[in-house]
Amino acid sequence: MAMNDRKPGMNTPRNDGFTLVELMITVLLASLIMAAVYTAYLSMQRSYLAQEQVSEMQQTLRAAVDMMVREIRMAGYNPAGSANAGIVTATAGQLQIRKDITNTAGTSEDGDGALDGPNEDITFGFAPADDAGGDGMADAGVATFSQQPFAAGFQDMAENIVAVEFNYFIEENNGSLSSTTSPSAGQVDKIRSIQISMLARSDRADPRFTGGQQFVTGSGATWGPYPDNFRRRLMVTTVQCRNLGL
Amino acid sequence: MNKWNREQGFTLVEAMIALFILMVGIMSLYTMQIAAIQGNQTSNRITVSSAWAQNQIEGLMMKDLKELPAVFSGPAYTARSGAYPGKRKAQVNYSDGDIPSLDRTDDGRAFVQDTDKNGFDDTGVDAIPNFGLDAATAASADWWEPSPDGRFNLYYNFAIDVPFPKVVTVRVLVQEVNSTAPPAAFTYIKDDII
Repeated sequence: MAMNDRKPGMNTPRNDGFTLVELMITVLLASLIMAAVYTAYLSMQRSYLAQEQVSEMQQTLRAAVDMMVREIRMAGYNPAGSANAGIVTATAGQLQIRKDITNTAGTSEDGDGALDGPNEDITFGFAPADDAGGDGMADAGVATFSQQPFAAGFQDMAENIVAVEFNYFIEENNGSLSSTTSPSAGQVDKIRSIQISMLARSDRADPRFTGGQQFVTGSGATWGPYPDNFRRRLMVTTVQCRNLGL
Repeated sequence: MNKWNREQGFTLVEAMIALFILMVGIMSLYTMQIAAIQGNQTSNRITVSSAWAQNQIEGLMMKDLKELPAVFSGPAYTARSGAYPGKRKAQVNYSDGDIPSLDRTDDGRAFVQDTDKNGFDDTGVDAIPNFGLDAATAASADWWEPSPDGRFNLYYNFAIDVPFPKVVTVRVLVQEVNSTAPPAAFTYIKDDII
């Protein structure tokens, strides 16, 4: 017998559906489950967002530092022996290097004795508008770190950089190394290694995160504490300049 | 028999059991989330500690072995309690004017050499066992230092004349303080001759 053929008055025991109480219990339990699922989703979303900020910060930092390391390592490359290659200006927040890696047009693989080719003269640091004092600390708390090839404008290297510090290892007359962030004019030619400290900040604040961490740079200076809701990350790397002190 | 008699739905108990099973499933979601957060924390820790360790190693590789005391005498560390207060200092003697040898720590213990050149430190004269290149405690490593923020310790292990004469194999292990997680290891070959 098909269901549609059922007539009224037929014996259909227990076919009554749910009572209101049963329904209320069901709805209550279902909402509890939904609340649990939603809490789990929220927690995952928060951790995903935080992780995204951290990895973005890490990638920015790593990319910028790696680029600088590659350029700085070549500082002083001077196969033609006539160019004025080496480190030109060295302060805590600014570093200008020269290397004779190509010809004027940038088409050759080797130096031509002149430092007028692409990327043969680079300054690393914040643009003056972002760091008026030139101390390597972004005046607005955070700025875009940039490089400035000679006779070109500032090119963005890394966003959301809080501070940068160049610490210079100077070769003394007795062969030992000493370090300073502000080498004198006579010491610039004796720089053998450069220690880069760079502090990045996450792009967005996380209200659930409270900062206050202090960071120790390569030279031993202290940055922070920053009592806000941004995550920060410090990277310290030492570059040995293979083409200096030869 | 009327087949409509069988259309009785679930009892409350059955429904509760079903919901309970569902809750167990949802709880596993939370467990998964906790595991993911812990994994993130671990990887974050390893990233930060290895970046620091690599910079310390670069500082070490930059210098001659005979300058090791200068490398290691950086900022003064606060004295630590226990059997090995303060930091230990590597002193390097050029025994024959050419081959550097790591001699003694500043607490008078012999630096452990690898005279049989098997890649493992020999036992020290005061019979404190050392664990070759894998020593990751202040007592057994050839030298150690804490990170500036105090979160990590770096343990240096030196094996002299390994893998061949006049070369030192350096293995550096970085570990979080009070952690049982295995340390991250970096092995380098240091050569003063080049």
